Amino acid sequence: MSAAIMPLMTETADETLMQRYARGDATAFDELYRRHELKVWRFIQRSVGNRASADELMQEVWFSVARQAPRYVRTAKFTTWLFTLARHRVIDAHRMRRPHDSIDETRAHSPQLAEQLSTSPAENPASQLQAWQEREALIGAVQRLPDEQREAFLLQAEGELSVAEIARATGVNLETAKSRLRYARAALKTMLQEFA
Amino acid sequence: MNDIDDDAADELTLRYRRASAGDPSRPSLQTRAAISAQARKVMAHRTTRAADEAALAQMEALPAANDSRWKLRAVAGLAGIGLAGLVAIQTLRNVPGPEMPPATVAALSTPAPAPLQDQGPEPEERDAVAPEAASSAGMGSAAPAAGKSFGVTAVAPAAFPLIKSREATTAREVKAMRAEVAMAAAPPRASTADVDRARWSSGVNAAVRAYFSGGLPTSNPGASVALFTAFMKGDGEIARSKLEYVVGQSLSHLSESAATSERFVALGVPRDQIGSMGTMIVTDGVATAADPRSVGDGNTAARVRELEEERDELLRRFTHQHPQVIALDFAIRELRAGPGGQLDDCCRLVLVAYAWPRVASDRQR
Repeated sequence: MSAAIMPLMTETADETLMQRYARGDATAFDELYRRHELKVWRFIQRSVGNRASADELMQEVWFSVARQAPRYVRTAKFTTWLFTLARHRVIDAHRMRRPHDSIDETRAHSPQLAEQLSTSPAENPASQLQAWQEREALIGAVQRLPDEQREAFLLQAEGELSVAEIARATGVNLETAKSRLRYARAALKTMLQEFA
Repeated sequence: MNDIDDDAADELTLRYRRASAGDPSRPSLQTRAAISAQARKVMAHRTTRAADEAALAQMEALPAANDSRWKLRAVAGLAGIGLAGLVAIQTLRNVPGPEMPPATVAALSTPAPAPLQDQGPEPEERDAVAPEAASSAGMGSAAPAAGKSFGVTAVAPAAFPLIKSREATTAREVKAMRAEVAMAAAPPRASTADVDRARWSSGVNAAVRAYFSGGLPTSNPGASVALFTAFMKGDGEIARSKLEYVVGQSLSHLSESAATSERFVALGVPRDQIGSMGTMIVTDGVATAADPRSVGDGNTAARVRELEEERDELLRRFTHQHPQVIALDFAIRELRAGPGGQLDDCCRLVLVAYAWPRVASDRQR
């Protein structure tokens, strides 16, 4: 077994951390948050396309985790439960979305190329530019996917959920979850042809 | 494509992950701080509450300063003295007395207590009470058979708020109690609160029916469920109302005259999942749950959180297509939209859900 895998094997399980937090160990919550902060954040942000809303929903999701910790029962992976919570908040946000909210707002608020180039002087600016463009294109393409496809793709790509877990989190059957993933990938490939 | 292929991160997913890792977007520092603070606050609250409950349990285990059991002992002592006195008198006078159980004699000579609520009578005391009183006393404790003889079956001891005296000394009082109990104890095993709720519910039912004496509005033939929502004032009068249908998963408004906050929660959800805004379910005209005391708590945000948690809990067992989940989704959305909060100030919110197919079929008849 490689040395790189060993730490993963000895890491405390998410479910155990939840139980520890429920018993009063605040550091367990901090650890959970540290592990999943970015995944959840990206899932939310790319789903709602609005940084302010994403911040708000992020809070709601983790507040729910904190509140529900005593009642948490290990019936599925913690991440499945966590992303299910996040998904509910996203759906709520979509339902309440104001007409002037724009999905483009996210990218408009994201750090600009100039800021990022200045932080990594060692790399070739041309390759940085290409990487930046590809990243923007890819993330933009994900955000342009139909809601259900984007949701399935993000649950897999960010949440690292299996197809079965995606099906469970989204309340659909396995075949539907598979289809959404396939359509999402196909649509992304089409949108990203110029970077292929 | 098989499951393994679908689960495996393909090249596109890996590209996305690389791109995502390079995206410097992060939650704001305020968000992080708020989450961390909230986690600690919730934990502290939980810890405090657990400590309070433990302290309360400890206190409850101690005998109360106003424990009234001394009265029983005192009365029992007096009864004993009375019994001894009677025996002594009869012996001294040498007059043959009637064949009576000693306890009955004691009851005649001393107004023996007949505890009705918290503690059941001791066997001796129960025997000592007159038959009617014994039956009434038994209703509150361990004599369901006696209770049945008065048409009240096994009502819980705490269900007698109307019985003001704890002592049944005369047949008249016992009869009065029996009448009151018969009125109050419609639902078997009703608690005090249940009795209140039942009365309140029946009042609301009557108001609803009077308001729609001409019948409910025409149904939508495709509707699977119809929700009638009445906004009640504090005195029970209906301020306004609306009727809606749920067709499949979508909501169809018949009237936009009023917004509701929890109506879908009323869709067959047991009371303990409904919440604290004064909700009542009427199915086929029979009120099944209500809690008038908790109407209008004004804390919409807290209510939203409660509903979200309920929904999350349901989603661990059901899909998003489950009626209860749909109901909660709508309820949360509308609570967030705000009208519930406005209503809290002036109106009682009463929700009435009819199982529409039954109502429709009733009307066809």
